[in-house]
Amino acid sequence: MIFKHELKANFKTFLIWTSIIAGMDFGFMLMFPSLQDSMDKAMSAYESMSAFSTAFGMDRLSMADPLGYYGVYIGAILSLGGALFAAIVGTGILSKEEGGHTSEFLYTLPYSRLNIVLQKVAAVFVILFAFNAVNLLLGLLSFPLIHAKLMLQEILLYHAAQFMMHLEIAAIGILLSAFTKKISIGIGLGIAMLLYFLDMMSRVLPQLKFGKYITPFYYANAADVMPTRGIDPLLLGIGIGLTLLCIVIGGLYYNKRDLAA
Amino acid sequence: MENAIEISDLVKTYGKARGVSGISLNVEKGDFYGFIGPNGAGKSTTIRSMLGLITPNTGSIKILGMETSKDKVNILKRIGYMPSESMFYPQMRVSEIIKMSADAYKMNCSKQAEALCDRLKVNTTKRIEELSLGNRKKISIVCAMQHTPDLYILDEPTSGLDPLMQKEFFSLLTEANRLGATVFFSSHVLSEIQSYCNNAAIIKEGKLIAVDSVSNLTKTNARKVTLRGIAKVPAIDGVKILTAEENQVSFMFRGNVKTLIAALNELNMNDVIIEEPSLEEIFLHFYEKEETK
Repeated sequence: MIFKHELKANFKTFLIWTSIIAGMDFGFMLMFPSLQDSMDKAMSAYESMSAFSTAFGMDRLSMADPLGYYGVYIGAILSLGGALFAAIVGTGILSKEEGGHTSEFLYTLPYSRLNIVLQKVAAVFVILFAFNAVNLLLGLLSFPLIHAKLMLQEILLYHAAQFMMHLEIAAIGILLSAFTKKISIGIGLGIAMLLYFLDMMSRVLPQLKFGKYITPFYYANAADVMPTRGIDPLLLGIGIGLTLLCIVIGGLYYNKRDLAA
Repeated sequence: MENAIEISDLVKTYGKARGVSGISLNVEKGDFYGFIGPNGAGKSTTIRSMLGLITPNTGSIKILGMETSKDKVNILKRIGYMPSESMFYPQMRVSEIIKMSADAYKMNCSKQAEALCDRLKVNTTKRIEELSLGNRKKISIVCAMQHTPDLYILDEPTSGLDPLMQKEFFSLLTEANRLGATVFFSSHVLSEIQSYCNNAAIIKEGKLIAVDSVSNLTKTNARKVTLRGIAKVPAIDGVKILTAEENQVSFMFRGNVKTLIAALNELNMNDVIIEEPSLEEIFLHFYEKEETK
């Protein structure tokens, strides 16, 4: 079964990225009590750097508070790291067959091409779900360990938004992957970085305000999700729509196109 | 007799590059069929179209009575395919690849796989990345044969295999063929086509230039003549020089044998060999004839 095969094939990458990012986040959370004092001072310094603090969401979340620290500091690692991981998995999933010359083996097995694509997409979904689940569990575990109040709703909503954002990045990667004959992980990573910076810039520069409709980092940003206890429904709707569109267009195109040897 | 493969007017172009232009070809069930042509002639394009890896511009392909464009999965279930590159996932073990392939056919072919690995001396515990082309080819053979398909489509199957393995491979194919399977394989090694195939098609620059039985293809009134002890070829009509060395010349002769003998009679040579040309030489002859047109 291709689904199981893909889980196995991606397992190493999954293990490396998950352990590094979730491990880093968990470690930084445990360090919070010893950082709290300096965070207090830092926050007053950040307040004078208005654009900088807006870009990182520190105008609405305080790093001196455990939830704010989780949203801003931990959130930056999780959202960017997770997006890069999603880009790698998404862009590789289809194009690696042609890049590695295995397409003639895989696509002459008695499965329809659409079936294989769907199994591959399902594998990406499960891999990203597992990545986010590990991050969420360690996040939830870290609050009681540092004797902080667990704000369950905020954290669950934030992680749900992160998961959706990672799926969207992966879907863009799948679309790219469907159209290119060689592995284009570099382009996938580039797009993920670009969208990350677009989120920050759109918060600071009025000319780039439209950016929030484009980048999934916007609706998944802790500075919006946590204080409002909600995900912007319009932006989330656009995100889900774009994700499905990328997968459908990519899948249908790939289903028909000539495969390189 | 029913046909295992029916290709009519197949056209496939890749942008400006040539693929194949107007190929029509029938292979009867139970046949051992050779598909000959140099690299880049369109052999792989034809085969990849048959398997639905690429979509032809026009033309139709029927495999085992089913259209590739409609019934691909059902066709693939009954085919054993060996791609020319034989690449697999580098991190996987040989046994895992063989199992992955068997699972796709929803068959338990572990017995056949074991027998094949035994005869081909495949080490199933190795990882793909550790293997040479020849060893990957052997895995490709196991994957193509373990589910005992009705039709074998093999794209340059022998490249990379050592002579002993080639022999073993052909005896496996011959056994399968005797049990009723159809074999269609492409090659640019003519001697293997001549030794094993009943029928053959010759492809050049995307077009078939000859389709016939191998015995008809090799039956020609041309003769290959080798003379020892002289350096000059007799000046008669119908001679085409193949090689001319200091002490030996060889040439193709097409025409009246009496003229040849009379001309040879005049020459002061030590030895003469007159023989039927091999398929290889006829094949080259086909190519040159085309070029002079």
